[in-house]
Amino acid sequence: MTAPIELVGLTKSYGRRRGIVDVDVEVRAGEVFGFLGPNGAGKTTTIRCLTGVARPTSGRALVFGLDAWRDAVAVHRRMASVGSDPGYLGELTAAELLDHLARLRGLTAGAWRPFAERLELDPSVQLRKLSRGNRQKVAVVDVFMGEEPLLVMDEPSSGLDPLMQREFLGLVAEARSAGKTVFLSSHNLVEAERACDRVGIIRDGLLREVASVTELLEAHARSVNLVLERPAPPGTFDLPNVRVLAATDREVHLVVRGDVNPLLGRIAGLRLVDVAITTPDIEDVFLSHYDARISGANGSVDEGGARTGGPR
Amino acid sequence: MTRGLLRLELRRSRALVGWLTATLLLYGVTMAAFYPSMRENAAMMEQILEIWPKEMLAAFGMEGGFGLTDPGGYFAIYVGEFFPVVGAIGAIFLATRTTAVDVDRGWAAISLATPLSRTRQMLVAIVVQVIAMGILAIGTVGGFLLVDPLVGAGFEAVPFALAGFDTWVYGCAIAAVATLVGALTLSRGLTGGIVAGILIAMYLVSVVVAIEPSLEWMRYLTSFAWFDTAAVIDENRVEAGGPVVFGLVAGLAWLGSLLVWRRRDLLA
Repeated sequence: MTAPIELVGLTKSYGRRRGIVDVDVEVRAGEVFGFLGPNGAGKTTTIRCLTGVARPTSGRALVFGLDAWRDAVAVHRRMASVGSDPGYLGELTAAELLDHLARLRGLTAGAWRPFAERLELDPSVQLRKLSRGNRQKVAVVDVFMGEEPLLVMDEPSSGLDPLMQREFLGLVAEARSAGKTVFLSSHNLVEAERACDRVGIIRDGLLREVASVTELLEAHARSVNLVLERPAPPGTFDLPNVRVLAATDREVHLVVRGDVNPLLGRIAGLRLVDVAITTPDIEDVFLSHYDARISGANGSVDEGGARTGGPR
Repeated sequence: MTRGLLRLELRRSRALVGWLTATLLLYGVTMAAFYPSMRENAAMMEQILEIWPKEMLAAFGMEGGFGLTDPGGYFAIYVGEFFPVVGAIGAIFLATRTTAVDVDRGWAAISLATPLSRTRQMLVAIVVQVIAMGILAIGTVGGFLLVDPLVGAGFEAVPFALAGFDTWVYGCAIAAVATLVGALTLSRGLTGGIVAGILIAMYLVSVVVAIEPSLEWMRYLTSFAWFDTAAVIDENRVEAGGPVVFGLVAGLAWLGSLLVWRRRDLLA
């Protein structure tokens, strides 16, 4: 079966400016794929190549086996997409705009209404009078109102309030249940963690890692905080996959990668006042790809994403 | 699909085209209302013109062999030379709306995130320009024809309609060049500067040629050599040369715009 999205050695440069370099990724049918990265990492450039707005310098962006640049019209029959902070025509009302886009996509006028109601969007207001969050609702309605089997979204929930973000995640989950494939770029890590089956992490135009959210979280360090009745004997935490980040007589903060059982064996011999083992969230994973050492008032972050020298 | 897009683009053009047409119409009405007085005082006008330096007459386009007292000469001098300015404003705004403003604000990408092809998107923009230039051309000659029954100036409908046709094709040529430059630069400012610069340069060349007859060949490099409404109105003869040249320029520039539009990144 042809993959909904296949990026093969996708490279885009803007003259001397770097865009993306040699991005290879395959998005499987029916999955929600998150594309994570900070501003300027190359997320939007990738989506522009995918939506046929930008022509790849080299490599290919394929959508259901079709070239996203050459076969843009056929691609857009199978793909609904929306950019971040889309530049809608301010003089139109949301209803007029959505009806117009619906007609361009071969949908009936008013196809957007159930989604607008769900997101509490007032369709009678001119777009120029809408707040950023409400304009973003229009974008979300736009992308979900059709029947296309692939949805591509660039920072889709930015500007939405928490309630609407939850609604958005519900829409994504429903799309997945309906067998649709979703590709969304984000730097909202909580959203990615909750919505995505797999994520790709892009930095400086290079795709650094592609893995399932579960795999990513498992591969990265867990943070362990111990409060002891009395100091631990020297060498207690000398294990190959354990790193002590901070320690006083009675408190120890360490990180463990992979198998936690050897560490638990050592801890079992100690008298504890308190123990906290924190599963890394995707933010830790993300940070580990972006900055090995983030200095600041709160301390620094090591490669595992664990911050040292201050409260987490 | 195309009908809906065309309707939207026409709606977006209403204010611009409406105001520019009103300007042309009002200007035409005003100038046409003055014409009978100009004609009644023809001898005096000729005397005034004789004392003007040849260079000054050339600078104001009064060296075409037609006098201010002929309807065609009057129209060509007062309105025919006003149209390129207003027409260029309309052309630049309309052409760069698709090629620059909509790209910059992201609207072009939104439209193209549907099964709308770039070719169709550009074709709709071209159709809008053709319609808009037609309306502007009607406004350009319409003022004269509206006033005629009131002042008895003797402006004839058919010659003025032919002049309107010339005006329309000329406007299309300006719009097409603006579209091509816009598609290449994706910048309204740059396109406006280039198109206005070309028109001003051509006007200066036509002035120089009027002063220095040995450079006559250069006149045919300017649009003003081909936009000859005076001959159409005063001699009631159909000049195919102008419309053909403008039509060719328009056709080639729009074709070029389509080709460029299909192949380029749409990134501001």
